[in-house]
Amino acid sequence: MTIIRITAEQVLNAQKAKEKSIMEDIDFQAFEEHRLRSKEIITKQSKKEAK
Amino acid sequence: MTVEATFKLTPKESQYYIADNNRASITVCGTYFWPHYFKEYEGSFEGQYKMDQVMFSHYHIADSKIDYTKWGNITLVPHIELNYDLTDLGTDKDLSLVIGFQAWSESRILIFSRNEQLGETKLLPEDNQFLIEVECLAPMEIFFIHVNNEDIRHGGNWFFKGITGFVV
Repeated sequence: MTIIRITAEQVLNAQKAKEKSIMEDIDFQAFEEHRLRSKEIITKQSKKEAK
Repeated sequence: MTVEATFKLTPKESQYYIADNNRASITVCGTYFWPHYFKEYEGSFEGQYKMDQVMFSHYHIADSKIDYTKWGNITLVPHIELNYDLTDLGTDKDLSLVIGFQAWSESRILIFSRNEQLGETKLLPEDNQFLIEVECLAPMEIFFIHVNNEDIRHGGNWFFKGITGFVV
């Protein structure tokens, strides 16, 4: 069974980070790249299955 | 000796509240259900509701390559958020969290706070829980993100059953 340990310092750092804004954090380009990669894989897979 | 749980959160009973500084809740985002006639009954909405569990599907996995230390990125992908503040219960105590699940196939979960990755675990069909130990009871948010395995298209199918917290 996996056991993950979180220290008091990590909790404190997370509290501080909560002050940051939400929208500035979203990495839209990374999501777009993910979408394109997925599309490419699905297209390749479909072509392979069609053969 | 038996230790009694401080709270037990499930999809149906997702909030524990005694006071503002003695509370815990879960929010679940991006779950999935199958039609009743497809696959096993427990994957249907009716089955999940009856069994008090929610499903995460390999069709809707998050990309493990995205930076989830940016909290905004978490809001766009399937995840579970645990939010708690248990400071009323003491300053020299620890919190143990038992996360319950049932995995149909191997599934990968990344665990984040607002600013860093706290860990990673694989959910395996032969297991049904994993453990998180926190060395203080201060307010905290913990995010569990269902991500792809090495192959970008494939994750796993699993059910989230709940989180039980023990203050010790």
